Order: sequence, then structure tokens, then C-alpha cells
Amino acid sequence: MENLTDESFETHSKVLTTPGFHADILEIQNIEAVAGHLQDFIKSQVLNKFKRRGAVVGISGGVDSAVTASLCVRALGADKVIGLIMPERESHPKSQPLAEQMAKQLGIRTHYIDLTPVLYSHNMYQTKDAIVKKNFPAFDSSCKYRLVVPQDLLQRDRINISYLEVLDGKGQVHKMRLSLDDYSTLWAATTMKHRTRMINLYFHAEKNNYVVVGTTNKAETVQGYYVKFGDGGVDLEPQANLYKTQVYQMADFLNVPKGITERKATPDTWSYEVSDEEFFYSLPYKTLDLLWYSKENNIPMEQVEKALGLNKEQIERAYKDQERKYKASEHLRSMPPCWDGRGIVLNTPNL
Amino acid sequence: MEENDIINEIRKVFLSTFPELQNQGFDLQKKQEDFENWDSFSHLELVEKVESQFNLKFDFNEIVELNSAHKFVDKVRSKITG
Repeated sequence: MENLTDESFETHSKVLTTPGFHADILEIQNIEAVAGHLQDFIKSQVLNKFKRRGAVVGISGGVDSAVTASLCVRALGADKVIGLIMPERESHPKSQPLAEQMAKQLGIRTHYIDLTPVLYSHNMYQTKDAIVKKNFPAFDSSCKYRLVVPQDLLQRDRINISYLEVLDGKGQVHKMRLSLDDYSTLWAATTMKHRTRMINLYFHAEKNNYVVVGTTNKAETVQGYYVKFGDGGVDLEPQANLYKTQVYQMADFLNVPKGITERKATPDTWSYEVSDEEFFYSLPYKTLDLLWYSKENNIPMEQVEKALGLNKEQIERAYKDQERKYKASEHLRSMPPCWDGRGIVLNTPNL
Repeated sequence: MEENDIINEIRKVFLSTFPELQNQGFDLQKKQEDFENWDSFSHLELVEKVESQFNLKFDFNEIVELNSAHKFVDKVRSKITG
């Protein structure tokens, strides 16, 4: 696996983690200092680099955006932060009230934008529902559906591929394989949600001379669990070097409501609720984060086995899965390659 | 169908899905992690081409196991011979 570590990250890493390798290695020792560094980063980027007056954050009702919005308020002041709450037909019913609760607690201005009509106008729901109906003819408005990956990543060598799960009106779950065309189309249609949110974020940012602040954490960043020009379409990413477990720690420090921190982490893009673990990672965040840290810092296998309670074979399977995702998502973390007119390809990392 | 015929057809499917194998060479034992471009999309492409070539269907539990050309050959053989 290509080592992401560079000089700046090593410095950062020392601030963020406790010494030695153990199950609590990622616990931040001085959370107040790290919060201060993040606030300084946001303030300096917004005011000095971008020379803008404030920040726009998409508030989903999840922990990542709650932490980002809280840090922006501490960095810039509540009057310089705008929260956009953008639910759509398939958002979980809890998401909007939790987003509103967070925004109210922070005292920021909010705009509520229901994306459903726009997504309808792009045939997003119609396209997705037609695919599900084709694969599950009994599909009707009482059904919910989602994509999930098998949850036995550590147990056997297998391909990490999604299948469709439909929950019918009687509470029965139906599992089915998708064709390449259906899978690609379902995926492409779903990403319209993220890109529609990005359009709205930039409308409010440009209107107010603000920046768009992203909410992507380290696990998402390195494994490509975000949408290009969707939730990845932002001006700065303060949390991209915080592991998800550290985001939770930061959330507690910043007094993010328990309703948000105790909620299962979810992409919130499917009508049948699915966790990040079920949809993409196949592993709980704590294990995922520790595995990435151990690989990135060349921790000896026996220490990883002891700290995680996994055997060598399981750890190697997880490393391979992470490496595959990292390589497959390299283009997300890069600027588009450019031809400079002399046959040299430029590809400047943006992280 | 002879074993060599199955291998040959699987080889053709792999070469059409991963053109870089023309230079790198086709190896039955190579696993998914040995391929640069073997992601979920190319996996479904492989599966659908093999199904079409041999006129058979894999279920989901079978397709997640097919992580090498060798496993495709084994699975096709077991389906053909029943």
C-alpha cells in the first residue's frame, strides 16, 4: 500500500494519537488543542487563503457535519456560518429534526431545501424504482430498498460486491444480484443526490462570498467513500485527517447532541436504512480505523493481532480490501490530469 | 466440453475484460488483488460474459467467490457437468 504519510501528516499524527499501539491508540490526548488547531485552520483558510467572509456547511443530521459546523462556528462565529438542510424523499425521518436541532444549538442561519422535486425532474427516483421493479416485480410504494455488501470480509477471500435488498410491505427482506447495467445505473442515479446538494451549497456560498466546507473524515477520504463533485465538491476539508473514531471524540467535546452521536453512521441515501458498515466498509469504524493506522504506520503484525483480536489472515484480508479501495479512488483525491502541451502529464494531488 | 476448451473460453473473457493481459500474460491462478482494474464493475462484466459464453447463470453467493480465472473454470465445469 502506498504510504500516505508525509512530513506534515507525521507532525499531525503526533498531535492526534497516543503513544504505542493498542485498541485506544486513536484517542486524542489533548482534544481541546486539536479542536483549536482545526479552528485556526478553518479561520486561516476562509479569511486568508480564500479571502471569503464565512462558511456554508451541509448539515445532514449525522456526526461528521455536526462536528464540521461546530468547528466553523468556533472559528468564524455563528453569524458567519450558514447551514443547509437538504433532505429528499429517501432521507431517514430522523435526519432533518437532528440537523435542525444541531443548527439551533449552534445558533446559525439555516436554509431548508427539499431536493425531492429536483431529483424527480432528473428522473432519479423513476430510474431507480424501475430497476428495482425489474428485479423484484412485486415492488410497490410499500417497499424500501438498499444496496449492501456481504458482511464476512474477514472470514473468507471474496469479491466485495453489492447486492440489492428489498424490504417489502410485510416486513420480508428479499436479496438479489444485479446486472452490471442495473448496478451502474442505480449507483449513478444515487450520486445525483450528492451533486444536487453540492449545487445548492455553492449557490449559497457564492451568493454570500462564503466557502463550502466539507465534512469528509479520514476513512472516507482514503477509501473513496464520497462522491466526486458531490460531497467531495468543497473548498476545504478540515476533518480529512481525523479518523471516524476521532470525529466521535471531537463530537463529544463539542457537545454534539447524543441523538446524533449515538445514531448509526449511514449514507442516508437509500429508503431502506443502511449503515456505512453494511453499505461500504464491511467492518465497524473502530476496527477499520485501527487497521488503516496500523498499515500506515507499519505496526508489526503481532501487535495488530493482539490489539484487534484478529488473526494474521483476517488482517491481511482487510488490508487488501483497504488497498483496493485506496487505489480505485485515487482519481477522487487528484486534480484532473492535464496535458501541458509538451507531452508531460500533470497530476497534482489536492490533499 | 473439454477442460482445455473451458480454460480457453475463460482466457478469452479475461483478455477482453482486461486488455493489459495481452502484455502481462494470462495466469489462471492470479487473484483479484493481482489485477489493477478488477473492481466490482469489471467483476460483473466478467460474470456476465462467462454466463453468456457458457449459457449458464451464477447466483450471488457464487459470484462473490469467483476471485480468480481458476475459480471461474472450476465453477463453470461443476455447472456443466451438473
